[in-house]
Amino acid sequence: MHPLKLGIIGAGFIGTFHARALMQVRNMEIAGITSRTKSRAQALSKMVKKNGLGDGVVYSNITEMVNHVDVIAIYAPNFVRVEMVEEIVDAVKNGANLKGVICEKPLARNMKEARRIVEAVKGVGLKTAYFENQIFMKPIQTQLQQLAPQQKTMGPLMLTRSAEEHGGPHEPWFWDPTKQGGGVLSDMGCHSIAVGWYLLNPIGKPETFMQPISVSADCALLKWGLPEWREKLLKERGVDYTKTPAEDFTTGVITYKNPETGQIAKAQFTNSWMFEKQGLRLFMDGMGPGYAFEINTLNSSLEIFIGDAAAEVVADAETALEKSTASRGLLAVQYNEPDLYGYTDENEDAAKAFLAGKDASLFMGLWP
Amino acid sequence: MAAYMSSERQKTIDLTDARIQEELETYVPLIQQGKGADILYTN
Repeated sequence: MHPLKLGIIGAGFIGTFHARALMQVRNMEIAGITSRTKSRAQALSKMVKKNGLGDGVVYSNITEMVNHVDVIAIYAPNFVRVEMVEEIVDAVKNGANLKGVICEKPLARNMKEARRIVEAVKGVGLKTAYFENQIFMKPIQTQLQQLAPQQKTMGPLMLTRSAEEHGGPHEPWFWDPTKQGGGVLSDMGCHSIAVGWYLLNPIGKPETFMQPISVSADCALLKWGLPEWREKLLKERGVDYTKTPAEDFTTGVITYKNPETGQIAKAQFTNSWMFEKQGLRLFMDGMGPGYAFEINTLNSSLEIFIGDAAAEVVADAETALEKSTASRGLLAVQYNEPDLYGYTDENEDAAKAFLAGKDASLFMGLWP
Repeated sequence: MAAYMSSERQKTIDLTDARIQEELETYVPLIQQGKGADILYTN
């Protein structure tokens, strides 16, 4: 069986992260790349070729790339996704033979845009994958396997708590709520809400089995609303939080109901762009009757220590951990972040599904 | 979207309410509209 030829739109942080994940995936090679920033596309192409991930041909636009690939992955900013999907759909209408389309989370900035995207891809019969990596995390899937007997005997989880936090995004557009769709709730709350809902579903039931009945949430601007941090943001990212701020902290509780038993379950989420530890941390835990699990991605089997005298030689702290905030002291190191965070497995899932002519496990329009 | 709505209105959103579901279809949070200063700098 020939591997799928993947065309990537967007060659920034997330596109490169997925390319790292594809080093561990069979059946998918990176055949094409297009980006509004040509230098980034060329840099990603170089990385793809160096690692034997595919031809990594740089195309000047989507329409040009579509006829040379089997699958398109949208890793471009949120505010251009509707028009990109419509360009892909137009190419399909004009004869392009695509097997599927992947979209990185979030699908869109609001419901109206999301509906347009889902209707457009369904209108031409495209198979889809919605990339919500945290559901595919090996610790998440492994606890499900390990605790399956407890779930079946004692009952499903009743409470989950999910948090993703770091010190703030890389790209300026993420900080602009009109482009990104909001602040940290839009950016990372979608992860934590999705994984919380997923975990509450009893084993064997579909992803939307538990029925959401209410949500109570709070958003606040804490660190990045302070004058000195607003100034730093304006200087380094070109975004003025005096005029158009977004939330850097959110928390909330979603209540779900089991439609068969009437049992109530709750999923709490917490997200921030003001996490003052080593770098990105994903934290999840779950409580069932008589059993529990906990995941903390800052716990690693590898820790390193770098003293002040040696700190100058650390060129890029992010080689140790995504969104790293420190280059000295006791540092947590995750040596395979694409795999830890679920990117490897979501790509594998999409490749298998598209080769079989099906939607991926998580597809566009799955969640209402 | 419902989480933003809850935060803006400072109340729990009933997701089983048909009127809320209809409203969410076209709802755009104030923060997304670029009006976040009105609600994030009030405390």
